[in-house]
Amino acid sequence: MDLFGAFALLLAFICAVYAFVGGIFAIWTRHPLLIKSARQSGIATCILIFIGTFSLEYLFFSDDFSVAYVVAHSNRDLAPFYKIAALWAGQEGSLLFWSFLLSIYVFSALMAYRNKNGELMPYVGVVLAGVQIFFLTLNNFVASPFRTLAVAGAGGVLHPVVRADGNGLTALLQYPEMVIHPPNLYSGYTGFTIPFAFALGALLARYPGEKWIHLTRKWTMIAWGFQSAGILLGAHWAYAVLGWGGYWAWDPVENASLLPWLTGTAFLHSVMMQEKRGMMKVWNVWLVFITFLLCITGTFLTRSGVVASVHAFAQSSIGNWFLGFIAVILLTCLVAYFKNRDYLQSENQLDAMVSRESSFLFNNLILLVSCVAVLSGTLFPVFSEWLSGNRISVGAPFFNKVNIPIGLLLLFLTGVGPLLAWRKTSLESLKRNFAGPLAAGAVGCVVAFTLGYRQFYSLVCLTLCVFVAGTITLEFYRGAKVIRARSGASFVASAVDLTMRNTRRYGGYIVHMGMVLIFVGFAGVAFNRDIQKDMQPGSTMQIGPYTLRLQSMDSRPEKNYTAERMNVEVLRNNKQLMMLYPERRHFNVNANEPAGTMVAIYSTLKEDLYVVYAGESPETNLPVIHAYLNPLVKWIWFGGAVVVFGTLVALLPNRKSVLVLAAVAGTVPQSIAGQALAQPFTPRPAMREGHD
Amino acid sequence: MIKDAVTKKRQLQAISWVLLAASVALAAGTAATLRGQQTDRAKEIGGKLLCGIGTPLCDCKQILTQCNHVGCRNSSGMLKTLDQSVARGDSEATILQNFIAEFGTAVLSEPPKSGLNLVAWYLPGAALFAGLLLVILVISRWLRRGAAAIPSAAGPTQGVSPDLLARARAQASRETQD
Repeated sequence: MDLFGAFALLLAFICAVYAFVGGIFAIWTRHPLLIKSARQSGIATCILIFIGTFSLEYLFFSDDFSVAYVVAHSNRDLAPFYKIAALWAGQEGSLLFWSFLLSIYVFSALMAYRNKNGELMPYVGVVLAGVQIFFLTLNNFVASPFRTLAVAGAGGVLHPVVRADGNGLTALLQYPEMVIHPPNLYSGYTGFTIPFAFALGALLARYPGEKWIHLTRKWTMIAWGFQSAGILLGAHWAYAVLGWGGYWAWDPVENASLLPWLTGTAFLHSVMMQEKRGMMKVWNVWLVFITFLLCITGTFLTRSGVVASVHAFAQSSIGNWFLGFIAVILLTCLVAYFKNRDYLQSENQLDAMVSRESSFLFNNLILLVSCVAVLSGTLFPVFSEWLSGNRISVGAPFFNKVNIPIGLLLLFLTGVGPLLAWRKTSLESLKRNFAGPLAAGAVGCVVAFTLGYRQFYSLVCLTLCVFVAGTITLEFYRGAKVIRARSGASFVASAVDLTMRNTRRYGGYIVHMGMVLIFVGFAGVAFNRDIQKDMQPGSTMQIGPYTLRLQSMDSRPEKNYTAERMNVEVLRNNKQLMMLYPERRHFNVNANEPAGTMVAIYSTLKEDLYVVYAGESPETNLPVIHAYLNPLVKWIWFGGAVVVFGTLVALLPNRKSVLVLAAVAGTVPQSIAGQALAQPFTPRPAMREGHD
Repeated sequence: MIKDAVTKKRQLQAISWVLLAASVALAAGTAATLRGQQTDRAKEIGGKLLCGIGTPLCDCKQILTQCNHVGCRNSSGMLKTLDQSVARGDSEATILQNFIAEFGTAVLSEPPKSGLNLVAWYLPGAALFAGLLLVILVISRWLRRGAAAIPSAAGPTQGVSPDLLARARAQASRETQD
């Protein structure tokens, strides 16, 4: 099966090369058969990558320990659930997984538009094939996951070797979220390839109008949604597994995932300017280019060993390949832009400083500044060492100092933007729209301050959360009120109807509301506290209103590991609240592997009681229990779910306009059905509002 | 009828205010119950240091006080030194300087605000400032372009064709959708 998989990947590489070269010839000659064959070669590439990926999974499930990658990341006792995750546990497999996810997108795009956009698709196909060639080069010639184990015999002849068992999966990855977090994040990274290909293709083809924007909107939102979910799942994994009490450490790999998310968010906003006003064409094209470049840069940072990270893959020369690819993409984008920049002339002008358009510009600015801050902070240690030979660290305190004010500015704009009208916002409109939410924010601030919430950033954050929640609620309230007046439906039904009529707009507001909830969670960080104690059975520790009593400890053998478990009783006001079981897992196959932590969390909307069994103290030989009290954390996960839900809503098609017959009696409309039926009426067609 | 509507609107507003105040009070109450617990000075200074720098003992590079590797010889030694320095009443600058002397500048969790490191600190601010200037410049340019376009766009008001009117309506609808 290893040969089969390797051969499938090699064939995929050949097909991708044909799709690329044949596609260029097809564009040049405009020959329909050549165009078709290049497209079909692109589809074949994807199918062959699917086959290659499933072959590797088969090797994991069949415990084929003749393959080096299987030996390195699996073992016989590994649960089937984690054998799926073993695919992306190492460098080679994760690169194949990247190719796999990319090929899902490419396959879907090529199939979806196989009979449409004939002028544009050959260009898009060439760009997509180009990206696939790069990853297939790595899969085939640089980091093949199908290499078999061998030992050199007499005369240097290699003999295949089959190991009895594998080394097992890294303890940190043996957690349910690690089965869904990487696929989400990678789907985000790879998904941005589609808008990139369409943007570059449209620029090269000088494709008229904003069609490429319309075509890629949903692809961008899907990628953005996956990226958001991936980041949040990663944060939750770090919180629940790493056991340091936090969810975001500004680690270079975490930062790498945030960078394209920031520019992708900017693109999702600014693209509306182009759709509606024909503005910011250059900006949008470059935002897509930069987003894709940042996806590749993130991968480069993770895999090159340039920056130190707990998440990083082993250092290797693979970074040079990524660096080369980044250079090629940048050069291609620059050449395409300078050659065709006249195609990106803006059609419209701005009518007023205070308008939705301006708010989008400022929103983009803040997102980009945040991106610059994160990128420069991540790479600064490298540049500093190069330039001065002085090694420095840029850790969480730096990123927090720089990014908290930026984040708050962004939160403020989240509230302001939707209340501004396109083209021009009058003073009257400003007063009418902002009075309520501003007053709400001011009241929120005063109440919070009076009650003692006096940490500056937390206070500002909560105030802004109330303000933004007020603006979003106002938007729903106003729209639903109009529908309710017409239809007589309940307020909730009217709000749902309103959302379904313009899913993009109101789905977007739901996403904003999710971000508000996430920021409420962030506001709690300033009040985190913790306590650590060496405990013997029966002893207690106090944190906030909770008393923790170590009742006993036990050892629980499982199939793949042995769990060392603490039985901790949680009391509140001297009454038992619940039992928590923090544990450490010692995996059987690799004794050198550090034990995995399983944090026990009692989570409420108010706070998380987070209990870690940190291990045995070398001084007292007693178990060390580390307890944290982290306020408002649950709001972050809840907000994340709302963000994903809002994205899904925004992806739904708008409800179509329908014709309904409204009962009319003379000139006075009767709203009561019984009365209307009792009187003669003239049917009249009335158009229910629809936006598309 | 109008009076009823006004009353209803006021009731709705009153409910909204009560809900808002309750939610803020809940959040603020959370903070209030937690207020009063002071961070230990050692913990505060420890937050400015990293564990696992320059030694092979621990490679976690976590904030010193957050290093959760029990038995980590690096962090336990560093924390002991830190506690002793704090107990002696050493100033923060002295304590940090001692750690730098032992582990190098990389032991600090953020770059010192001097020399080349100032670039890291000032770059985001400079980017914001430059971006702000650029945005204002772009907006002003677009506004000027808009003002110049008005006379020609206004044109004669008579004889607007139905086709032009339909297109204008479609444009207005599109531009006010989101």
